[in-house]
Amino acid sequence: MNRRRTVLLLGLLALAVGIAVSVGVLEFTLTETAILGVGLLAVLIGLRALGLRRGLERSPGSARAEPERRAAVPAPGESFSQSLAAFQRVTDGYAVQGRRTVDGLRAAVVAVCTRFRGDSVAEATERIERGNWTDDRIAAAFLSESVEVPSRSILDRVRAAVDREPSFQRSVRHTVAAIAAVGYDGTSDSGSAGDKDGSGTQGDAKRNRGAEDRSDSNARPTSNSDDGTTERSLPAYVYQPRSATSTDSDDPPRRTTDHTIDGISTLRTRQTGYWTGIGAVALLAVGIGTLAEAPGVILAGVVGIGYAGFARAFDPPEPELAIERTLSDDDPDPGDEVEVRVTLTNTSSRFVPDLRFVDGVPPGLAVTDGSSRLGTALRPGESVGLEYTVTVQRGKHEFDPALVLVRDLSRSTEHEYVVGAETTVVCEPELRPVAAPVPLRTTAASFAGRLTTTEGGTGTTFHSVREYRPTDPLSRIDWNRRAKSGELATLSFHEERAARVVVLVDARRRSFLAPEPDAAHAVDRSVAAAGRIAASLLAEGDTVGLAGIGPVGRDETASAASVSEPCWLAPASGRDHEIRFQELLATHPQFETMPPTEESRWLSQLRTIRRRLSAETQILLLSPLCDSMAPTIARRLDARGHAVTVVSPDPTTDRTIGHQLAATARRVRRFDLQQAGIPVIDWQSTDSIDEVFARHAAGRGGRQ
Amino acid sequence: MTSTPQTETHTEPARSAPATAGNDGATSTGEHPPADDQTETGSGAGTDDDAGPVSLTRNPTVFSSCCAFGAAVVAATTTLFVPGTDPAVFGVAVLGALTLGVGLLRGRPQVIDIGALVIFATLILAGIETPAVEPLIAGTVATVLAWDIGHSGLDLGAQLGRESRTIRLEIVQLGSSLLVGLLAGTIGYGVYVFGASGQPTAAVALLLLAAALITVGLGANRS
Repeated sequence: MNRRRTVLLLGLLALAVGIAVSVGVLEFTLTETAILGVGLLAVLIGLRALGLRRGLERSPGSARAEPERRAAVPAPGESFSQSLAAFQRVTDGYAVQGRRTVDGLRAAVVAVCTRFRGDSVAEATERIERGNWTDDRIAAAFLSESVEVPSRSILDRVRAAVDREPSFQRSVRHTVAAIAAVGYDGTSDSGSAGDKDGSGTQGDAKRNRGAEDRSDSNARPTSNSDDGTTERSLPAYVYQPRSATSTDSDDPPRRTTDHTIDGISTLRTRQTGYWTGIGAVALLAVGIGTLAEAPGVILAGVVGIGYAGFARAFDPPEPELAIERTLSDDDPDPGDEVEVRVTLTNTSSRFVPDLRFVDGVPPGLAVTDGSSRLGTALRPGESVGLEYTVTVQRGKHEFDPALVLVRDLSRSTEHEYVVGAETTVVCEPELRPVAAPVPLRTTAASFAGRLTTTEGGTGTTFHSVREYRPTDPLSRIDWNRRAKSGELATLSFHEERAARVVVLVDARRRSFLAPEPDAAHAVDRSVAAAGRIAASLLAEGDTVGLAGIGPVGRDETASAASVSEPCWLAPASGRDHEIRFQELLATHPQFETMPPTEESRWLSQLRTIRRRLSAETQILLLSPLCDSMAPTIARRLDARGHAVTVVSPDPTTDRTIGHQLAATARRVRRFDLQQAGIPVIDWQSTDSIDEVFARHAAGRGGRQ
Repeated sequence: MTSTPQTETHTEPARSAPATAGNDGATSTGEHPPADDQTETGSGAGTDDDAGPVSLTRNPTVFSSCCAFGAAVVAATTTLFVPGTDPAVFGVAVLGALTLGVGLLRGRPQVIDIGALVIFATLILAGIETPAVEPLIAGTVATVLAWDIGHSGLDLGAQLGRESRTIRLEIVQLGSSLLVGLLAGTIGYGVYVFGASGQPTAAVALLLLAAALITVGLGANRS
């Protein structure tokens, strides 16, 4: 501080003397060497300051955020160790990482072999030891000490040396790919599974095989052909994604700010370092000019010094901005494009020379046309407009505060502000019935309806013939048989009843998953499907209710969570009910499209739901089944005697080893649930719910 | 969205699923495991809309880039107007301008710095042996302008993206920079023309020292 002041004082003194000398008031002469020294000093200072520019922070500041895009959600299995943990029953004690990986992979092999090949645990373990659980020699050798690593060709060795991939990673990749292929490659042991085919499902199996052959012929043959083990597309080795360890270092945030703000609030002030070095270069020029006695060069330096002075002359003004936002459609349907018009007005009496505006597009919306950013200068009282288009998805979307960056005229200082301007779009999901029947279980409530049950009774579809009992109605007596044999028999038809269904949406934090960061996540798909399912059931005359499991509030502040309760709408029917159903899906905080920050106490929520359910109520659970708790929910409800059907939107992908293992774990969970008698309908992310239900209906004969 | 191997893998459980259904005969007719036998793996009639979100191109804005490159070319050309310039010097200056252009295209601030420095160095080199002043002042203003506008275009691109409407801001920036350069150049030129004749070297040296010290003093203030 003091030194700086001294330097400044000396500088001012030298300036005064210099002016005095040049005007002629003072007689002062310097020797040639002194002049030379001063010139050299200038050159040195110039060179030193030139280095300052190297370490300059070049970041766009808060404008790095990308509110234009939807809030990002992870894909299942971002972390390999977590995917692996899904297969490990008990971790007994400390294990070195390498060992832990091998143990986890062995557990995974046992899991898939017991499920998809019909082995017992002991058989599967022996298979691993013998190494015949897969065709992939590298994978087999990796998990078993008795199997030798296949000798690699020279070409392979050279390639490996060039790739510089550690053999451990290579083995893990091979093993994971082999595990993911178990149950798919109809090679060595599909017979053991095939043997157990009941006669009733033979046709199914045949048809599936045919379907698979067809898809084989027109799809890639590499993924499941027998000799394709080496060419099989291997997943990438990602043990721990970078974004999980550091806080989103490479992915920009998708919101301008997490807080709600009224009026203007300062985020920070930063020096852009924009002109750093210009003074130094100018001094360098002046120094060189002095040494060489070249007036032109000195003047060039003087111009530079002029710019250096300009860089320090101003301070950014305090903006007083009025932001007005209008939407072309206040009540859009999902998928509609809504035009947003923002008007910025400078209400202060100062000129704002440099204003950069980033609108706080809600995290659930994506800008699909135009730009929600603007750079402008604003005179006092002037306003500018900004227009862009967003594609609206289901839910209640509140605009975040807009980000405003103000710089001074020379752009050397930047103030960042967030300006609150509240606008809310509510987009209700469409309640359009699904074309195909909803896959319900065949237990039903005691009211007449259109769900064909397994019980015999009145109805239209033939069920069975039984002996006549005295109270049977005349209309159901089999008169043909009576005419033929003289015996009385009664026809039974499939009872048609109304179903009482509660659609349960799994909106726990772990269910916010999507195959791509920007794709619709599983909860979004679940909620959209819930609307469609409810519409079709209500159209059929069934009664439908709605419930949710998951965090209620999105803010860390407990206020939101304490105010609202988990979603519950008792099964009912009618137009009123339908509207309430739609409203709840759109606006209930549990179904917000923005991923929650904290996990909820879902177990108590489940208990509450169970208490509220009446007997004979079916549950349609919408869950991605990507953690071990999701099947637990289904099983607990099933254990209470409620017929549970799981519709599972598939968020898995196969880019990395973690992704593939997570997808395999999900497959195992699906299988286990089906073994427990709970039907699971798998819903690929490329399909629509109509296709999935239609396929399911075709597969099982359908509900009339 | 899903890659093809993924879709492929999911055609398969249908094969193992019937096998398992045979085991639990207790389940009633409706309880087959889902026959997720998707025969049409290629049918991409998904729920996702294809109109993806606009991607932000964080590249230098077009207007600023053009202005910067134009100014760099002008600056390089001024070396020709300095009497007695080596054609090689002009060549190097043009090379500097091209470097700056490449820096703008690739969005590399360091490359822009280097380009501008090269042009400036050629200007100094050209001006060292001549008493001519005017082309040097003009060249310096153009060089600083090229460097400044190039960087501000880069900054704008990084913060707002190339697609955003920023033309007004860019014009204000260009205007203010040009004004400052012309002002500084005019003042320097005026002092040179009207007062340089009888000026002792000591005064120049002292003024220089003053400038250096003041720059250091103020510069430290900023960090």
